Amino acid sequence: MLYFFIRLDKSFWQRVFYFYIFIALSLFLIMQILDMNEGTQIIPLGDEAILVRFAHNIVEEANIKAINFAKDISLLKHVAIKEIAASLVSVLVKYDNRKISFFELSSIIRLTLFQSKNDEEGNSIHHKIELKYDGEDLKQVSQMLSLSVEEFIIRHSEKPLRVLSTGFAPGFIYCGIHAKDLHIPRRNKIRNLVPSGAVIFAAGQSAITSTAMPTGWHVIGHCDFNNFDVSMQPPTKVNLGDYISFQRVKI
Amino acid sequence: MKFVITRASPLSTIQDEGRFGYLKYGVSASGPMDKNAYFLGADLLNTNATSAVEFTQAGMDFIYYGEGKRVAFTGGDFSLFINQKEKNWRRVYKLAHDDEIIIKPNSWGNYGYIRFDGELDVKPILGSRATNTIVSLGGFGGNALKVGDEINLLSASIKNKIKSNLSSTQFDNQNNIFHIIWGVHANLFSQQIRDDLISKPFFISSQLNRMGVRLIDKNKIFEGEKILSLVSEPVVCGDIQILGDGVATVLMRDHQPSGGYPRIGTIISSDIDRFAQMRPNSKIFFKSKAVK
Repeated sequence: MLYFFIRLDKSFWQRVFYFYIFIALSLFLIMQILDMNEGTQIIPLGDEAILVRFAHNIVEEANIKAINFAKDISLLKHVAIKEIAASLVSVLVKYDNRKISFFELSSIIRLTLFQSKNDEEGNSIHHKIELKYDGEDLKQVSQMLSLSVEEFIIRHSEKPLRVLSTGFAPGFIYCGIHAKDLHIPRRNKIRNLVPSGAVIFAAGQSAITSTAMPTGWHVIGHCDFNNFDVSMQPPTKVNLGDYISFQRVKI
Repeated sequence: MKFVITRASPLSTIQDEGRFGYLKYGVSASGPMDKNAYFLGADLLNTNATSAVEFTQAGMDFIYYGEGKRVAFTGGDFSLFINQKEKNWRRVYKLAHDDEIIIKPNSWGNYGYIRFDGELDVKPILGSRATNTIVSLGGFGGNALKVGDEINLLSASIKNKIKSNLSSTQFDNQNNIFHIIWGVHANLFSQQIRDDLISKPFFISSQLNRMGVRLIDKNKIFEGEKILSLVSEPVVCGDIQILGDGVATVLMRDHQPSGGYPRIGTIISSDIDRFAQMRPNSKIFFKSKAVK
C-alpha cells in the first residue's frame, strides 16, 4: 500500500486513495490488537516497572496467559528489560528507564500479548513429591470441609496439580487449583514460623515452602523436597507450568 | 588484610549493587538502601570492587589489620575518628595496621557505607555478595554483622576509571517531598484518600528496616480501611502498601517479591535513597508524578 503511495508515476488521487486504505487497515489492526488484549491491564508500577495484569482473581486461564507472556517477552531479550517475573495472574516487567519509556515498553508488551498463546505449553515436567500428612492443621482442615482426615488425604492427592506461581519466597511453589469443594480461607492467626518443606493449604491451592517463614495458611504436612539450592543454576528445580503429584507416605 | 568489628549498629550488613535476575525464583535484589552514597564510595576510591559494609544509624567501630589500604566513608552524616582523631566524613583515607576506626551518628541519616579498595572476601551467592537477612542469603553467612566478625579483604582490583552511576540530582537532606506514581490499586481508594495522601504530612516511625518503613498517619487518612482481599501480585521497592489495620508501609530493598495488600502508590526510584535516610519522626510529604 505504502509502495503505491510513494510511487510517483501514480496520479495524486490514486496515491491519496492508497494512503487512506493504508491508514484504515492500520487502525483496524491496532483495534484488533487492543481487542485481543481486552481485560489485560498494563499498569506502571513505579518508574522502573510495569505490571501486566490478566485477571483480578485466580483463574487458570489467566495464570496460563501470564506464564506464556512471561516466556514470550523473555525471548525478546530486549536490552532495556532488566527482569521478568510471572506471578499468579500477573507479570512484572522491570526496565531501565534511561533506555526506554513507559509508553514505548507498553507498545512492545501489547505486541507480545497479541502474539502470545492462550493455551498451555506441552513441555512441562511432572514431579512426584512424597508427602507426610502430619500437619498441625490437618484435622481442622478436614473438619472445615466436613471430611474425615482419611477422606481429605485421598481428595488432596487425587490429581496432579499445576505449578501456578513461584517467587513468593526463595523456591516457594504455589500449585493448584484444587476442586471447588476443597477451597477454604486462610487461618485468622498467622503462624510465626513453619519450616522448609512444609505443605500449606488455603484458597484452593497447596504450597510448598523452601525456607522457614511465617504463614497464614493451614499446615497439612511435610516433605523432604527442597526446591531451592543456591549452588544450582537456576537455583530451583520446579518451573512454572510443571505438574506436581503428592504421594502419601505412611507415618 | 582484614578488619574486625568491635561495635556494630543493629542490622548492619554487607551489600553490593544487588542480586538481579532471581525475582522469579523468589529472591529480591537487596542492595544498598542509599544507592547514591554506595556508588559515591566507589567513585571516591576509583575502584572496581563492588562490595561494601552498610551500617545503620548508630554507626560502627572496627580495627584494621594488614598492609596499607584505602577506604572510603559515605552515606548520611556521621562523625569519623581514626585512632581517636576526628576526621572529615565522606572522604578517602589510607588505613595502616592496627588503625582503630570509630563511626558515630551525626546530624542526619540512617545508613552509611564503608568501601575498601578491594572486595570483601565473602562468597558470592547467586552472583552477588548482598545480604538478605530475612531469607539468610549472601553477605556474611546470611547474617547481619556483629561484634567479633572478621572480614578478610582481597587485593585491590584493576584501577580502571569506572563509569559513575551517580544520579545527577543533588542529595538534599532538607528536602522532605517524595514523588510517587499512583499505584496498581490506587483506584480502590476514594478520591478523598488519594487527595489526602498528596496534601497531608506523614511521619517516619521508628519501625524501619531494610524490608520496609512504617509511616505514622497522624491525620488518620487510612484509618478504617478494611483488608481488601487481593490476589498476590509482584511488589517493588518504593511501593506504599496499606495493611489491614490501616497502617501505611513503604517497601524497601529487602521486600518480599510479591504480596496481597493494596498499594496506593510507588515512590520513584530517584527519591528512594533520600527516603531511606529519613530518620524516625521526620515529617514528609508525597507529591504525585506522571510516568514518562
